[in-house]
Amino acid sequence: MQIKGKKKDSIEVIVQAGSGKSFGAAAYRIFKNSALLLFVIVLWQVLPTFNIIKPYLLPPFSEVVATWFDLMLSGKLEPDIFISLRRTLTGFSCALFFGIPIGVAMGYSKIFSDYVSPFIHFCRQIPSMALFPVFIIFFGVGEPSKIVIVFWVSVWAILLNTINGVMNVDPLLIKASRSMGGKNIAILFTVILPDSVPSIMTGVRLGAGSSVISLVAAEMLGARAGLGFRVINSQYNFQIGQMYATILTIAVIGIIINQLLVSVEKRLTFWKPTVGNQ
Amino acid sequence: MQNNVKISVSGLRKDFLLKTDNKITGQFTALNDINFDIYESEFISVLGPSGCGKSTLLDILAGLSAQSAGTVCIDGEAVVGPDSKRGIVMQGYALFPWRTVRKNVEYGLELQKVPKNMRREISEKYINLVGLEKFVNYRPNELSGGMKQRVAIARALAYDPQILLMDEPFGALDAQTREVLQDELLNIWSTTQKTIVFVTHSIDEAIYLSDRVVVLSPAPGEIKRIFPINLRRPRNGVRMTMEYMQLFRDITAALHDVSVLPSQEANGSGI
Repeated sequence: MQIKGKKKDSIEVIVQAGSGKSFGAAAYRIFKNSALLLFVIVLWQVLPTFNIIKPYLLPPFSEVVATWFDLMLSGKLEPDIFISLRRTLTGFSCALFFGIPIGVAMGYSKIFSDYVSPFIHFCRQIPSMALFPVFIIFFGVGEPSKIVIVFWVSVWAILLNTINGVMNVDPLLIKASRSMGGKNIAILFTVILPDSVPSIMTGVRLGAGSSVISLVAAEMLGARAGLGFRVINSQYNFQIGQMYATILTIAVIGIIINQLLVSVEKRLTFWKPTVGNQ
Repeated sequence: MQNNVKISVSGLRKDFLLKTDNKITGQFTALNDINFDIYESEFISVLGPSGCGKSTLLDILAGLSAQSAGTVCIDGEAVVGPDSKRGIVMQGYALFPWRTVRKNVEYGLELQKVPKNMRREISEKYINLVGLEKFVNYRPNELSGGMKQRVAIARALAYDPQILLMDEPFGALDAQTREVLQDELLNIWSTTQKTIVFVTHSIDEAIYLSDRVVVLSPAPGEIKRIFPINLRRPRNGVRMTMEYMQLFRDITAALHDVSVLPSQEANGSGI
């Protein structure tokens, strides 16, 4: 008997999650991740080549890459890269050395937090780049002002995420340690700090992202060397190819730093269940 | 089987102050006039409904909380704080999720600065005791609830406390795992001869495991009655016996016997 409109018996498929480690699975995953990016790069190549976008505004991708290789091999870009990296690393390290201990102290001690926290929330909300001229006035146009702004921008994420991590330590773990005779110092180092690491790492990753962004902006506003300066400088001198090549370099550096931190974060926080995964 | 008195509780009272906006607005008595002795190597259960203060009592015995009045003595000495003579096992396991099974079990030994090779020997012994030899390098998030609780027990035993305080340890487990762990706990107890104070709200669990059952009333927590459990050991199959069912009935009656409150008397309502 035919039931009108009914299809043949369909088989329901249960999709099981595989390990994703087979070559085919990995290749498919890589394809999915990069497909859109590749498409944009193809557009970048095709549109200027066929004059749909004026090539003096946006050179084709191949030309930008060629310029990039040229700059790298002739060593012209290296000093800028070093200078920018050095500034970022210095400012960011200061943010770490300052932000993490203070964050732990604030999470640990309510009194300390009651006094310091409102001021921190006030400072955090000031748009950071608006303060840059202040830093230039105080520290001059040289290295210190850039380092200070990187520090200023990245320290908030580190500080607040550290405080959050320390304050949200599972009290049962502290109770367990205490019941085994753990004293306060031991609890700080064997319970509170390890349990806060995931939050601290989130802050570190966010802070690192902010530090690259703020450094480039600072170098555009008041510097004589560095990648941000090179971008603006290339634009003024109408070296458009060099400008794009430098921008690419900044992008690649930012991505590398972020991926490094993501993998460090994964290694340090594998034990924490993600939200909704209890 | 009358051994020495291990834990002596006398006149114990615990009040909590209620604070609103930094002003003290009231007081709430969690435990009132608790008096009893626990003997060495005894397995004693503290039974009561939720909110009767049994966890508070355990915290005080552990030295994690201070009493408002009365004394708690262990081996004749007053309790001033937590120490290595007592171990605690909680319902939520409280395992350190970033540590492996082995490192969790070794935690108490690390606190005592026990050297590494000795730590390893001791932790291996207790991991074997709870049957988790194959899982020494696993992390807690890779273990089932029953396994996690076994690790918690091994961790509490590792630094060889004489007293084990257990706060509804099997409460989060399914019924079958719970029964398996109950038998395992009894085996561990008969091997190690520890003094065990076991808090539960399950009448069956209290009877099955213990030498005596202390029944607490709801807040303020007071001792309603202490029942000696004279069932034979080992306790396998005891749930089917007449004596067990009689005890179950008696303890249930004691547990649900709500005393008449003054306000109810005045209104004429009540039992």
